[in-house]
Amino acid sequence: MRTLKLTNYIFKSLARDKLDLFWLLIFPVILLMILMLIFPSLYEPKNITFSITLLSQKGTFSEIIEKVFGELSKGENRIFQLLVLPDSRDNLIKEIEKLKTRKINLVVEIPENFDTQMLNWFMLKSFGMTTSPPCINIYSLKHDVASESAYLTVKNILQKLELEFIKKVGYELRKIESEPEIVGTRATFSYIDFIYPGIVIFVIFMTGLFGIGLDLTWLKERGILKRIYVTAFPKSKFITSYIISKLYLIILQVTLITLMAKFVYKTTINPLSLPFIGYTLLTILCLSSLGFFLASVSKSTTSANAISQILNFPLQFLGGIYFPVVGLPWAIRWIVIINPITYLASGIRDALGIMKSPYPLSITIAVPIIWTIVCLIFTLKRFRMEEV
Amino acid sequence: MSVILKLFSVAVKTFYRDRMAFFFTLIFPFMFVIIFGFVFGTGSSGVDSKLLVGIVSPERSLYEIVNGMENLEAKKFESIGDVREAVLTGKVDAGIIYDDNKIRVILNLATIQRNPFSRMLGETVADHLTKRNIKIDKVIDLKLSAIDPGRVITTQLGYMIPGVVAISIFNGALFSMISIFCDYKKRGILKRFNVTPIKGYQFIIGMILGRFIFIFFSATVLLVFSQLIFKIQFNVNWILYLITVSTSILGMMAFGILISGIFNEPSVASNIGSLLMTIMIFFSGVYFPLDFLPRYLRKIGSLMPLGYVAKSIRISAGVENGSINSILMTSLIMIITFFVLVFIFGTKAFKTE
Repeated sequence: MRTLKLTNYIFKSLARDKLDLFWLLIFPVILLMILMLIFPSLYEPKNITFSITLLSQKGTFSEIIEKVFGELSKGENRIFQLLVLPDSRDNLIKEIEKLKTRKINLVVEIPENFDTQMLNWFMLKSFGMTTSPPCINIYSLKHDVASESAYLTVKNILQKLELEFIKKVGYELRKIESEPEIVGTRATFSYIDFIYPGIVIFVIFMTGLFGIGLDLTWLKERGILKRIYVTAFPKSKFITSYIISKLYLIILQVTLITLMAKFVYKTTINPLSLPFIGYTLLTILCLSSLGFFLASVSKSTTSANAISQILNFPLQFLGGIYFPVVGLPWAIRWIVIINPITYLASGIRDALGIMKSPYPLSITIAVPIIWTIVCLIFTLKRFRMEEV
Repeated sequence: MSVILKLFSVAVKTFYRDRMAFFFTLIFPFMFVIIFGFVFGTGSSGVDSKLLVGIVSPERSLYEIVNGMENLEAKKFESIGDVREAVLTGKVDAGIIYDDNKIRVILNLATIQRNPFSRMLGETVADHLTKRNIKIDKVIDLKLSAIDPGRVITTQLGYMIPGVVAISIFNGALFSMISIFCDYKKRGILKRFNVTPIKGYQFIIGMILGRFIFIFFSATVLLVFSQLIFKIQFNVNWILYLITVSTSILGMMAFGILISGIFNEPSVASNIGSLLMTIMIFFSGVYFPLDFLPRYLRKIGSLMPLGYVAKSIRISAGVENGSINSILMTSLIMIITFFVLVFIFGTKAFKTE
């Protein structure tokens, strides 16, 4: 009874701290909203209109290209916002300047004699002779995703046009079909299915580092733990109350994120499924132990804060919570390998059928368990309530 | 003058000794450079990463086609099961199986997330094969010239680093002002100074100057060290850099003063600062491109001062093209805002004490 009373007291004192409540409860929701605004548009670009300048020539082939680009620039869902200009040195220089200042995304130049070269090429080909094909110059802007995407789109359209030109001059084409297959995920995959388990791990990580690690150090620094230690209240009961109060918080956090994911973003993940619950419990165990470990090694809140911040960003961003972390050099790959979040995130996603884990499932369970054991042993040896 | 200089030296020492300020101004941006630099596409080599494609085909032509395509590298596999497993476990980025009249492209989620256009891989390869069957390699030769936006040829990481410098400036300037105008006030430090012969303006100039020098130093160290560590080329116009970074620090300090003026409680002001920083990191276009976002979000992004600071530093470092007049105009606005706000809130801070 007294344990429960103390649990409620600890939880209430947390609930009264508006700032902690904001960072541990509201901020993850805001973060989920921000991620859902940015990443789906990056992974599946929709409704994009690229500003393109076509420096064209007179002639049959050039006019076909111009017509196709023109058709793609019409209507509400147009791909291009097209400006057609006659090809000249001045126009090219002017348009490249516009490209450099990001006023347009791409310049496509059909050079002089393109049509003649095209006709020559087909004629020579019909006699079994080969010559270099006529070229189209494309100017894109480096380090600009929109420009690079515009190039890939134009390239794809021109490749399709090549086939049309080939057919037009009388070749018989045996079209090869392509069939895509995405493996390691479900057919109904969407970004929310990927990010939702990640955000659940993130909130537990925040509670572990700041809600437990920093909080316990603060209690220690202010002498509160020492005062509790000298009372008749058993130490074990205090620790039990403390852990249960943090569990209350985690349940609240996960519920809030789940409600957002389920009802606002319509995730297809069942939060009551066994793999989800199992990995969530493993995450709680592992990342809470990390919090206790942090409280054992920190002498003051300043040092606890500094250690938390140093651990926070690499573990969070190199744990694959927000995006897959692959193909890294060894200089930072070791952080991915020793990071428990890597295994928790991969394991939960694999178990839910969202993304195949690069590690066997047994490893995704074993590594967090090893982390938990090491952190808890260290805490038991080092953590002293009476220490100030 | 000597009073200001003394206060200035104290401010530098305090900032250096403050572990959190030191971490957020110097270590934190370095961590971000390293993590994001390696994770997003290009590493220190500056070579864009190729997609490794596993091929299962009785003909060698597919292997040659894929190897001849831009940013693709082919790897042979003996069976469909092997290539599937390799894609699943991320050993290859994609797999292509060809059985004479149809190709099947196997992709995993990580590849699509890294390269959204990999979804078009199947069609592109199929078109190449269709042409190869009539012994045509290509009818049109597409010659791509990727124009460098600035005065110097740089890598993706080189383009990103000035943005990280901007974040470091934003961070240092914002939190240092919250510390002076909120924390010092709350702890009664301003009150104590008020009863000494030191004038309010001497205290503010000394303190701000100390922070200013430290932030300027950190930003420059970050730029120079990134250049050395990652072998990145910048073509820094140092006069423009001096103007840009100095006025950006003042502009971001103005932002911090404004937050301190609105939220008197240091913890509230500092948390609002952290929240703003998170929003700016995502929407200022430093790490994530804004081009694909919905129009209203791009509008919000264009209001983020961090985006302008990042652009100005990119232009000064020679990795982006832009008019010097627009930089000078932005700088002027930042200086005016800073002086107006420091005058209003500085006077208010000392008067209320």
